[in-house]
Amino acid sequence: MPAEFLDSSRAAKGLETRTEAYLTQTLLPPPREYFAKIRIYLQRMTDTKRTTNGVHLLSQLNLENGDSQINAGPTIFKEPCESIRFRSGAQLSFGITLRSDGRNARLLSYRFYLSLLPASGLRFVRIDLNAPKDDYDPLHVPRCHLHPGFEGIHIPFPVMEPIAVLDRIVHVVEPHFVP
Amino acid sequence: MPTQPSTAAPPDRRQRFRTFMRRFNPAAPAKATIGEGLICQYAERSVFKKLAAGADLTLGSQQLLVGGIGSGKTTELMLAQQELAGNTQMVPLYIDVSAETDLSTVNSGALLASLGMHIWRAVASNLNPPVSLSATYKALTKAAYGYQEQVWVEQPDYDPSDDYDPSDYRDGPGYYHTIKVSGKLKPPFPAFRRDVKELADLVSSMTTFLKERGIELVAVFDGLDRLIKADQFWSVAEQDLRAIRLLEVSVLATGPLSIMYGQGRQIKDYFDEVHYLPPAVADPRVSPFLLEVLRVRGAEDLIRPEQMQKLCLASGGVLRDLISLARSAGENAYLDDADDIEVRHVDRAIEQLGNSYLLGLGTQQKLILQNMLEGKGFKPSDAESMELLITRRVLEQSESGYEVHPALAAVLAQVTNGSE
Amino acid sequence: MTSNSAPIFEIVRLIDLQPTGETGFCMLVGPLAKLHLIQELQEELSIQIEGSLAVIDVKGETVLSLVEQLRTKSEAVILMYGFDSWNDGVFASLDINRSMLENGSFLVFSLDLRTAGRFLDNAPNIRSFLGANIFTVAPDPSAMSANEIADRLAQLRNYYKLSDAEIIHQAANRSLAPDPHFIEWLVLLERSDLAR
Repeated sequence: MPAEFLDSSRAAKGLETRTEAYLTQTLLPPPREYFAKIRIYLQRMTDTKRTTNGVHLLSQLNLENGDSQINAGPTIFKEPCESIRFRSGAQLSFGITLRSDGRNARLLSYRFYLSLLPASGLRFVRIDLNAPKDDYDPLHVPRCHLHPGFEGIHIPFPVMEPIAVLDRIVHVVEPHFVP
Repeated sequence: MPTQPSTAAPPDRRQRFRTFMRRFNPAAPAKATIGEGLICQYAERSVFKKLAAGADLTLGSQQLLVGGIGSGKTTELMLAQQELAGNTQMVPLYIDVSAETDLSTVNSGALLASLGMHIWRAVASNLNPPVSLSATYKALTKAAYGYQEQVWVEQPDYDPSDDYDPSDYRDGPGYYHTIKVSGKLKPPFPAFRRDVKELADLVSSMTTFLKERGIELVAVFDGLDRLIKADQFWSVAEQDLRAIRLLEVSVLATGPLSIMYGQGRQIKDYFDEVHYLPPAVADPRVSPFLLEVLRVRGAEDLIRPEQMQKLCLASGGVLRDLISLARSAGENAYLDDADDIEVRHVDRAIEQLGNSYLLGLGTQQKLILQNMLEGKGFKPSDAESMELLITRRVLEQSESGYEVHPALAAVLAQVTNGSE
Repeated sequence: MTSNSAPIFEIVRLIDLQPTGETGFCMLVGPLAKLHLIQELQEELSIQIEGSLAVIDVKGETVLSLVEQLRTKSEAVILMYGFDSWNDGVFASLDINRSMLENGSFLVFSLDLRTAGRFLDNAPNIRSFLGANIFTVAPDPSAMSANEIADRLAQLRNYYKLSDAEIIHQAANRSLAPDPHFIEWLVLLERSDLAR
């Protein structure tokens, strides 16, 4: 086996270690408060005409054990559906799972699905943070990854808090596909 | 095909609506609104020129401006003050007495005290007052405030040779310190019975000082219209106004609507002129005034002409309600993520205003209003009816008639239809 | 009064529109669930406008003592409650002295329906300033409803051709894939305890 391939595995494991460290160290506000932050972020995106809607699609489910689900748009994207719409015609739906100890929250997982118009060259871009798992292949399926229009390709994506992912999608990813 | 994202600043509807709200704030100080050029001066309705002319031509005259809540009295007074300020021989002093002291309790001499304070400020900032006048001001302050706030300050490491008096009941050494209560607004001067003659004499020293320099004063008293009941108005104003008349200082003052319906006193016995500010003509087909009020404030940026007309009609001619309605329509559009104010936002605003007038209506009052809507007339002859008039649920029409506030009439019709 | 109902999130959006430095007014009418209201208001103000909230219990206060408190407060929004203890004369006095309320903050009067009627009847000037800014606080509409939960679960079952029981079984066996969809599935089933 070529040496560089063995290095890729080691590098992938190193990336996972950094991902795990970020997730361990990063404390988010309690789920209700974080939800409110996402809500006002989406509202501002509508106010500045990045999106045409968003806030009314947001919903939250807070369990007694402290786990929380924040969603916007369908869980499984399938048109026609109600999702966050960009002026380009692109659509976004997302789901974020948080785990709270009552005071702060940590990230468990998230999914951001950006559906693009046919002329974009890509059908979709999806950014996922998988839940922790003992046994997995970090090279082929890093915990935080981006799907560039293909389910089978997992490009490592720097783990970041959900509002930061939203920001990248709104200001960096989607604008590149504006016709 | 991927493109580079635009670097131009994105449009922000939040800023657009904020700018709109700034121009449609029913609680905005009249001074700020005038300063920003948001006032529509309409000769057929404005009285400020008459007020100013009266004060200019007849020195020492006392004029009263009466109108319902939200009719624009403060704006007219301030415009009159501006008009008078153009005359170099005149010093018009705008005084919101209700901001300076508590008018809701016995507060004799309040007008004199506040007038004296304002005269002093004008003198101290523009002229070189003699020592005797400063002494007059000190005496006036004492008469106005009656006391200074004092607190005991402990001073454990005092020098026994200091003037600590051990006979003082305090536990330890220290001293009384007079403190000025600081804050955003200056503290009001307290309400109590003052010697009106003493105050008048003090104020007279100041007015004489100015008259000797060829300066004529006009006292523009605002806030007295908050004294909704006529007898409240007289208890505060009567003695002071009589004393001010002797000082030959012209007076412009606001008064409550109830004073026009009061039994007993004839306001013409106390005032040289009484100016009445009625509700404006609400129908834009009859008078363009209310439409112009909206246009001057930039309503056309967000509201189409036909919706502006709807707002005018729904306001009943109450200026503040017109501003409120436009604002509410703007709020509804903003919350709706709309770019402009649409018909549903206007309709909701009218309904919201009507609902707010519905709040607190008693059974008897509802009956009075229903009778009006059925064409049975209205007479402000009892307490319930007067309250409807004062709270603007009933509005005076231009020719001694009355109508139910249009926004309230609309929701009352819904309530009636709903219960049938 | 259904047309004047709004959740706290939207009321704060309206407060945000208020020009800075100009005193604004609104009235919140409804049963007094003070602590919850205050907490939610505080959170939204902090997030939306980075503003702070002062709270004043007016029970036992006179108009002048209330004015004194307002004079020295610099918070963006001041919520006042306890008006049910005031008699009609105090409301009338507040109305007469309403110029003294102008401290540049946004003033929120929180009171029950009956007290609101007394307040507005005895303070017609303040009523005029409030205009239509009289709201009943609506619950936050963002809580996921049972219908929505059922709908999302149906989407997952249809897409993956798996049942809820199978997902739970896999999670308990630690054989469930770590995809975000499956974690969401467990949360919707209220079995997120099985997610590591």
